[in-house]
Amino acid sequence: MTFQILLSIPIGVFFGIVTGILPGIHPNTVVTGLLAISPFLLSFTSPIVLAVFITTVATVNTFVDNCPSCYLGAPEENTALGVLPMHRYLLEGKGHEAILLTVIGSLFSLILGLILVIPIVYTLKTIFPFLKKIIIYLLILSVIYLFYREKQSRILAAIVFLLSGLLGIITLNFPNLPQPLFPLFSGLFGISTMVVSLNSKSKIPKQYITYPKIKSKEILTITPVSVFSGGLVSTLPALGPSQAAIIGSALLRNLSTKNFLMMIGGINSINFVLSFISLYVIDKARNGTIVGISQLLEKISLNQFILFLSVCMIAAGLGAVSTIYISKIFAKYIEKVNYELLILSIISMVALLVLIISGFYGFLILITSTFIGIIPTLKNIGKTHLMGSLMIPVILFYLL
Amino acid sequence: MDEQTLFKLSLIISLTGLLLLMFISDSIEIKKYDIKDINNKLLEKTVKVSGIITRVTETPGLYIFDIRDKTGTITAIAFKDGFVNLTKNEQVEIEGKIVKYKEKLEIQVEQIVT
Repeated sequence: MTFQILLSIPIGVFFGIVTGILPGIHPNTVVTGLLAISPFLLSFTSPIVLAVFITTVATVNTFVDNCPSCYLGAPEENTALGVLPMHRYLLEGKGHEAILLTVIGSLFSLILGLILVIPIVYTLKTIFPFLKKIIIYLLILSVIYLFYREKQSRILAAIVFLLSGLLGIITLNFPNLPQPLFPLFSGLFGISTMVVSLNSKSKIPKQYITYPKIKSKEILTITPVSVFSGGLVSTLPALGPSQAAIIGSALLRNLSTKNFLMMIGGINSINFVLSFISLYVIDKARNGTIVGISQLLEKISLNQFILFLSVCMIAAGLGAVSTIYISKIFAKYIEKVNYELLILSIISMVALLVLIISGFYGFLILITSTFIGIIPTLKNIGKTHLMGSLMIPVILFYLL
Repeated sequence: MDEQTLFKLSLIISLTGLLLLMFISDSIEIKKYDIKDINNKLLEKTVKVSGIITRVTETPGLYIFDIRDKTGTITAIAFKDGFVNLTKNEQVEIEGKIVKYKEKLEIQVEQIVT
């Protein structure tokens, strides 16, 4: 058994890397696939080994996901908000530095999260009922603050927020649409950025391996905010890293691009680890991976909880190292490839995947979301406003 | 394409797309199933079922009821807000998502027509 667990980690790392590099393949897709064949797998292994495997895949994936986000502009839900800032770094020839920033943010948040795990578990137990009542007002406040901060054009920001919100409501309530978030997010955050950069004929310059200069003061402010906002949302239904990023950017005023990337990295990792805590403490599954695990294991015990936390940490370390390595490969070859051709083939691939996974209606959603996503990209206003696509449905869900 | 044109084009396509999707989403007919045909493959899908209510349990926030047609029985759960009173032996048509609860399939009701 111990041997099987140890073996499932490297295999999980491999799958995490593959699913991370390929744009459009979310760990949820992998988990769903694995659960479908789990009766077969369970004939020669135990649920716990399978759960460790799933955990590893998902953890590594959250790290490696940053590579396609940065170099190809093809994000998934979690990395969506980081695409534009990363793209900015990429155009300066510092794509690798952007990746390093998210990795550094992730690692520090994980360390702080691990140190605080016992207080977090206890606080969660006590404040969960209260938190449930106020979180929605906190979110509304954050959204208002984000509008206020948008000096470029508040009206346009509100329009973008409302348009994407409307699309979010339609998409999430669309009858029998498989994986509705996939076309929604690919369009809003991914393809729209790619279309704009195709249109502006931007060329990817030669990439240099540069290292970010981070002051310890920055780490000391960003890390607690990431852990706090990531932790806040990880326990609540329908909220995820994107909402945490919105709360986080509202908490830290004048957030630089550099610090924003660190925060996104931190929030993503902490959110994932804390979702185990939610499962353990309040017995609620908060993302696809955790749903998978909770279907495999009825209720997790303290020992299993500790096991999963350790697996997360090991996988995070391995994920960080692989991400840095993969990013270097991307950095080396990205200027050599024909960028236009590359972008066009990624767009076609995502469109094809949407057609296969979500069908024709998903494709319509992809087109609409792409053009909504183009608006803020063109007008240089924050892409965070596109999160209206989730915020408005979430706010309605809580208020109605 | 210059930026202003692309901007206008984006606005137009966004609005058209939204209207189109709204229209389609409203007009999609949800497929009706015999209860015996509801299986794991339909998990997370929205289905329509009609039959007679054979049992109703009330909790503070929920109705839990069994619905029976010629082919079988299935449990359904409905949040109380928005739904009228449910009574035993009533003929209803329900629309809802198939979910799994404690290894059994249930319908999470989205709409009830009595």
